[in-house]
Amino acid sequence: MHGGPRYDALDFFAPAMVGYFAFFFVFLLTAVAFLRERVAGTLERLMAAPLRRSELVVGYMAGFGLFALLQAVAVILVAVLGLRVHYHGALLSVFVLVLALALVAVNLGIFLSTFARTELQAVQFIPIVILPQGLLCGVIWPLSSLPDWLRPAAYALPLTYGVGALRDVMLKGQGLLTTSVRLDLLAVLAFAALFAALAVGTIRRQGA
Amino acid sequence: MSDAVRAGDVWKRFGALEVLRGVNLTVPAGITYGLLGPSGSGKTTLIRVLLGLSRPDRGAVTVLGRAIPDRAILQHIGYMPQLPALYYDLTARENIAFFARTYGLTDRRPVDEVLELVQLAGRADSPLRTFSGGMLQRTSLACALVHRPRLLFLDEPTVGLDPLLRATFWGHFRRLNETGVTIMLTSHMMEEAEQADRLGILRGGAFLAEGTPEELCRRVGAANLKSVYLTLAETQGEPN
Repeated sequence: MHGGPRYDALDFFAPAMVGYFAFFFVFLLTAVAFLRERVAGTLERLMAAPLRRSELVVGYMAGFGLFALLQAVAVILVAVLGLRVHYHGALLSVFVLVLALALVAVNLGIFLSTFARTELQAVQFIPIVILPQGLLCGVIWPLSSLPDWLRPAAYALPLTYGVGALRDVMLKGQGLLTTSVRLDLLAVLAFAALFAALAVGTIRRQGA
Repeated sequence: MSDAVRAGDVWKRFGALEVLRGVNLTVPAGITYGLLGPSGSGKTTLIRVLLGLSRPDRGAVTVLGRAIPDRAILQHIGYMPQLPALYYDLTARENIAFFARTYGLTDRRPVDEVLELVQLAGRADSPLRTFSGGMLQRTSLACALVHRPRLLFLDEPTVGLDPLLRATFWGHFRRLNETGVTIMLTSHMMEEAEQADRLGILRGGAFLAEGTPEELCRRVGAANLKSVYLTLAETQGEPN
């Protein structure tokens, strides 16, 4: 893999797990939380207040972004202290990448919550959104082991870039400004912006 | 004082269902206006159109002198949806403080005042999941009142309340009217609607009749609103 012979499978997994868990939980929590806002009518109440829709989305990003950071700390602590994986990266760089992934997850969660009516339906997004990313984005096995025809799918998914960057930072000790990390981060932020636009679009004051 | 609400020829369709069919409405400032009608008659849709939460297919709405939709005017409007629409894991105080914040209020005092008003000061710090239906309604009303709106839209505010609490709610409405607040509420109970200053009887998305309770009784020659409604429903049926 990336390093010398001292590196094992756990070292390969750990950075990916930091990103994957952040994405998974933030997505699921946001989708369920926002679905509850829709079903309980609190979203309607918020829309009757002089708030901008974007203020609401930014609020969600701030709240769940903070949650993702706390979770990243927990995952890193378990990985480094418990599993004794190799770790070189600067914590700040890891936080920036986790935060970027959390923004993607929050906005995707808000957007997709439109298409669920119950919390059970929201949970059914896991096989659609979470599982393919786990299999295709280099979380479990490297991208290079994917067959050629599947590789374009991997590059169409945000986690591919997030996991790649986290691995570069945590395993190789690269900084955020290294070309490959920087490009990956920009790709993740581009996904976040795209989903943010979609999310704001689904919270229509003049909807229905 | 000018009119608080004006709606002209408002139409709204959901799919094949025509929910509002040419509603015309004027609500003078400072009164309590009752929207009366069976469920499915378009009461909630009309309220949502007046708030700017739902865009009418046709027609124009003016609220507090501003053409709707208008985000800024929402600062002066309070809305109590039909469901309690609250956060059940938070306390009453936290719910009210949160919604106060969405109107830019960070001060504790309005929250305390409104808790006092709905007589929940004693349970202010209990989570809502321990609340009874009546307590939830009171919390919901408090959330709609905390920013001192000039106009209140209350969707079925007293449904499920016992007679005593319902009387207390009407006491609040009257005191708010005295301070110049306009209230527009929906109800499907004739006995209750009799207390409103003006009434619109909605059925099938259009007004069967509109006026003060006395006017309505006189026009139909009925002794009370229940007979007014029954007479109107029989003679006019479902409007087409």
